Amino acid sequence: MAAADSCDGISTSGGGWEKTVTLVSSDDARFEVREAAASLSQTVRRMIRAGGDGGIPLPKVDARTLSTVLEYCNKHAAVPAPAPESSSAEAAAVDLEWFDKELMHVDLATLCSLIRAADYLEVAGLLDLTCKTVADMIKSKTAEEIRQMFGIQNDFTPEEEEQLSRENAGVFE
Amino acid sequence: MGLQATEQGSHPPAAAAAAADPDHPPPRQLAAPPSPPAGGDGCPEGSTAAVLPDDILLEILSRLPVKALFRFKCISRAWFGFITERLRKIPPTLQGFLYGPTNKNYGHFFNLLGRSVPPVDPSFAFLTKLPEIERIILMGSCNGLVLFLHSRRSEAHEREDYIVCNPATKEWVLVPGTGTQCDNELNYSVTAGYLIFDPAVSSGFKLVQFMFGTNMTLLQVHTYSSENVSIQTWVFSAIVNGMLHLVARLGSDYQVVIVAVDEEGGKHRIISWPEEERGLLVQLGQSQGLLHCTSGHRDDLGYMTELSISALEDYGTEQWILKDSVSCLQLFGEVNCCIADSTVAFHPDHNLVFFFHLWNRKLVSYDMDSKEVTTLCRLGGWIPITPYFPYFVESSALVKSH
Repeated sequence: MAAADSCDGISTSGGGWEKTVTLVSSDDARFEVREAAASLSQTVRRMIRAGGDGGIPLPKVDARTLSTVLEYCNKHAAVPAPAPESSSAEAAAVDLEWFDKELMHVDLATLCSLIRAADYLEVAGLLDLTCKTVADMIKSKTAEEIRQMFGIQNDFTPEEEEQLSRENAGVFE
Repeated sequence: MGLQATEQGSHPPAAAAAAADPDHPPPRQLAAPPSPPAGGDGCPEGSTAAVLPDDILLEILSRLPVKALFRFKCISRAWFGFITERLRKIPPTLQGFLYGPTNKNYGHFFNLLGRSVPPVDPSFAFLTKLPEIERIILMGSCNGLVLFLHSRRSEAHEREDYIVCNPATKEWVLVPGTGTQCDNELNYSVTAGYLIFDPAVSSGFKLVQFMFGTNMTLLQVHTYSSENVSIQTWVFSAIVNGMLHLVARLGSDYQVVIVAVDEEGGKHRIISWPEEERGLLVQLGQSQGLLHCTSGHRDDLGYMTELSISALEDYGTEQWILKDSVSCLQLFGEVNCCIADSTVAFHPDHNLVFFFHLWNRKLVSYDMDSKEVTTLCRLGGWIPITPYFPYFVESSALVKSH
């Protein structure tokens, strides 16, 4: 991505004049983004309103995570709102769904970074997408598999564990 | 909110704790580490997920099916706490309808949320497989608890008790019936039981049992005595303000009223119904905290061409407001309907009412805001339907089925 010094740069990307902003990751990578896309983040939107020079610092998001977040924002901000029920609206929805699905083809650690970034940046759609993906990933696992995935220590006594499994036995069978 | 710049989760706990401090950002990452193998869910040796803040873990848990939540209770004390809290926060809301053949009234589930898997086993196998259970008939449900009539053939006569259960937790309890010992003078013939359960108020439930004579005159009420009130007919029930509401006809002039009985059975109250203006009361229900009802004017043959939906806006002054009216043609595609095409349920949170038409067997919903009728499904035959609100919290009033 090209770097820009001002957070109110002008770019010709997409064939038209669009307002862009510069976001700075925790590891000082600079991303020039269309304001419409960056504004999907409520946190960035507030910072744009507050004004300032030299780019918007996002000290809680590293470059790799931020680039994925921005990929999401660019795609979702680019989708115009055509007349509902039109074939193009349907096609756009299918395309977006496919894009989201592809974006979520990452490992758990990356997903967790994305969740934290989406939460901090307040990108509601991405937060929902990532949480849903993790939920889908873990929903059919056993308790032990979850412990391994998340590095959780089982702090129940064997007696307590025995009682819990007895109580839950038969529920939803 | 915690921050971890690395993706691999190789931070020892101390670094993770420091990373969580917004004033002390973690060391700068100059190059992104290589991605772990794609498709691998595993996250070895310490994990970024472990530092997911509680509110995000709750976000994820809120997207898990209840079945998984139950399984994950034993992961750790922290997860147990989160899941218990999460289950408590799922308010009982209308998820669908239990229905089945008239002789048992259950066995199938229509899911309003469009999910293929019912939230509970509609065959109630956790009850029916028990040797002490003989024959159960679904009577109704209230905020997650389901009421069955339980018939047991003893030597001399059939004995009827009630079973109150929570199919989501598979807990149940047997409640003895008031007894069907046949008194020659009173000649009991029909028993009706109603559940009162509001988890927001109490974890316990109340069962109100009515006994009617052959002419449908109320003979006995188990939880309250109606000395001044001679109830001669009854329709459906609704719980509002912790009171059980029933439609009744009063005394000699057959005036239609709504009788409210409190759960202790000590108090009751009579709410008048403007029958001349609004027509015959068809069904009572609760929506958005208010007592609601449907009603309609009947022609000489007893048919109605339009149903009205009213709400008791002011409980104190008995102010009924007319919320909407909808024609049978719009609802069912039929010219008219009868009282047995009963209103099935009022959605507890939305201006949505569910109807079932006897002849064309359509289960429809009517949205009072958008005025839209949606045909949900077509059920085979004459089928009694009970709305079901899952409630996932275990209760000390019930015991686990083993």
